[in-house]
Amino acid sequence: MIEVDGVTFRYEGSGVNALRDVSLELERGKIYGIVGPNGSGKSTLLRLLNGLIPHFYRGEMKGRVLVDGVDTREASVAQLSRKVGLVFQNPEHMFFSETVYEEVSFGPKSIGMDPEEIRESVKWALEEVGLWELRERSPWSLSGGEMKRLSIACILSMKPEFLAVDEPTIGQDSLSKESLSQIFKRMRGEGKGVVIVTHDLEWLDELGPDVVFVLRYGVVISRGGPREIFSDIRNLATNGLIPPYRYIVDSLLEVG
Amino acid sequence: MLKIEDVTFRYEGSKRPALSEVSLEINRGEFLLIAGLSGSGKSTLLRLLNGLIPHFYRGEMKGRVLVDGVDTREASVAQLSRKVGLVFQNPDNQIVTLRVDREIAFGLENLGLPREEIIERIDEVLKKLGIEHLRKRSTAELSGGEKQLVAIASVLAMRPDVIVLDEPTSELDPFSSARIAKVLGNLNREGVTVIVAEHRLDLFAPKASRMIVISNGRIVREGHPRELLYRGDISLHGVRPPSVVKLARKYGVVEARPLAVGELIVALRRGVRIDRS
Ligand SMILES: Nc1ncnc2c1ncn2[C@@H]1O[C@H](COP(=O)(O)OP(=O)(O)OP(=O)(O)O)[C@@H](O)[C@H]1O
Ligand SMILES: Nc1ncnc2c1ncn2[C@@H]1O[C@H](COP(=O)(O)OP(=O)(O)OP(=O)(O)O)[C@@H](O)[C@H]1O
Ligand SMILES: [Mg+2]
Ligand SMILES: [Mg+2]
Repeated sequence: MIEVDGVTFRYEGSGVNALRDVSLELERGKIYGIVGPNGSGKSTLLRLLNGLIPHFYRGEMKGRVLVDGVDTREASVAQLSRKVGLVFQNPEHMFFSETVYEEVSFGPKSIGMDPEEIRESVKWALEEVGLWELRERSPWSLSGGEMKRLSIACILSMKPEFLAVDEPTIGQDSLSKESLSQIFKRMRGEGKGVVIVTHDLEWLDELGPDVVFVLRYGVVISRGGPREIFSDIRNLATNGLIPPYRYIVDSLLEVG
Repeated sequence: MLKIEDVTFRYEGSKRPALSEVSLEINRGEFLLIAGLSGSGKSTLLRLLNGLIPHFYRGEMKGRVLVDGVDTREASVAQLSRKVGLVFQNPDNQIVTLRVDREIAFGLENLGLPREEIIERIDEVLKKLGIEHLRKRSTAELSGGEKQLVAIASVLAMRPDVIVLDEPTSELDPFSSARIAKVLGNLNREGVTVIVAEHRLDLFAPKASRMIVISNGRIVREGHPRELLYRGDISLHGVRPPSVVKLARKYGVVEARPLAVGELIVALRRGVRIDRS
């Protein structure tokens, strides 16, 4: 379990807190959706989960984050990365390998998986995201959507117990969105915890998360099951969001 | 004014062409929406329009592209960028300076504009996009969506005749996305040619005067979005009609062919009344 316990965080040089007294628990075997307007602190929240905050981002942090009982401050990011895999919002600048295949092998190698397992895991991950055919290509030569899927494969191949993904649907067409849903649901079925940040509420609604958190100005404004959250149109709208269209239409038809 | 003549382009090191025998004419004042699966060739097509292909991307190109009658091979990217402004798919690849106001000023200085005009334009565009609060911020420390807005702002500020945007709302929240769609709609009404590649059709289909679908590097469908999106065969090419179209089907108001939520609601209100009478 990951416990975020009363965390307030301010980036160095910034006058405002990016997160304000955030507390939440993330369990295995569940899918969590995190939604909120631009700049509301979603990516910042994900950076807490694998220790990037406070290890890499400077700033002032109050409260604590426990991953299976271990305070992230007391563990290294390398240790945490076995448990919590984080896919960045804009991963393009992280690529450094000659080929797609090598790029995806890097993570498993760095956590000391054995070679046989690495081969299997890399193949599996690339097939999951539909990039096996492109494995000899340079990461830089991929289209935008392909790059995003490459970054997802890079983390999948490490087989983390928690997967945190920042905006997985960026650049994805309807088919790849559907296959991403399948991947996340399968992981949930295998007892992994999946945490998804997205603006794409239509897609999130179809994915069917167990719990949705709404962030605004760094505060968790509301939390609950997707139906409960999405049907509260007024709450979403006042917090800068628009619910999936079917909820809007449902409410209109009810009012008649 | 923009003319792609039978262009085939293969990136260096790649076996298959990314675009095959593409011909397309885009007239002044159009609002063109480009849809297609990931990897179908949308960004490649856009790169042709401001000369990034063939000037920056290596590969083999057949056919030619004319911007106001000038072959893009004969013009520099700097010259072309005065006419055709491209907002990149990934804002990280576009942003070159360290502060938001500097970033917007950068292109304007290259245009040789006087200082007062530069400041005026920065003020205007920040206001238009609702990001005045980002003016003095460091570009490296923006959230994903904030960065995308800054990238759009820096191209808008140059006031090109043709504005080309590669998935411009992929990281934007609903209000910012709607704002961008509205700003582009207004510019288009003032005569600016707008070309948008997007997976999110819900936002731009209601604004577009024409839509093309690309599949495997070829233009496979072309028409008004109202025509294309209400035809069953669009999904053959992986393009999923926006939610409004699905809901219109579900509630049996397809004759109205709504594309915007507002149109759907009007159609439903009528539909519902008829049902009950
Ligand atoms: N490295 C940083 N240094 C300083 N401020 C930052 C940094 N990263 C983000 N911020 C600021 O912190 C706030 C929260 O940013 P965050 O990236 O978490 O937002 P977000 O909800 O992910 O937004 P988006 O939907 O646009 O990706 C924003 O105001 C942002 O400008
Ligand atoms: N620089 C490059 N070198 C080699 N191949 C490339 C390069 N850029 C793109 N490609 C390939 O060309 C094809 C078309 O890519 P393009 O980026 O135009 O697709 P797209 O429709 O924009 O996709 P997306 O929606 O994912 O952004 C893809 O197969 C892609 O892998
Ligand atoms: Mg973010
Ligand atoms: Mg693209």
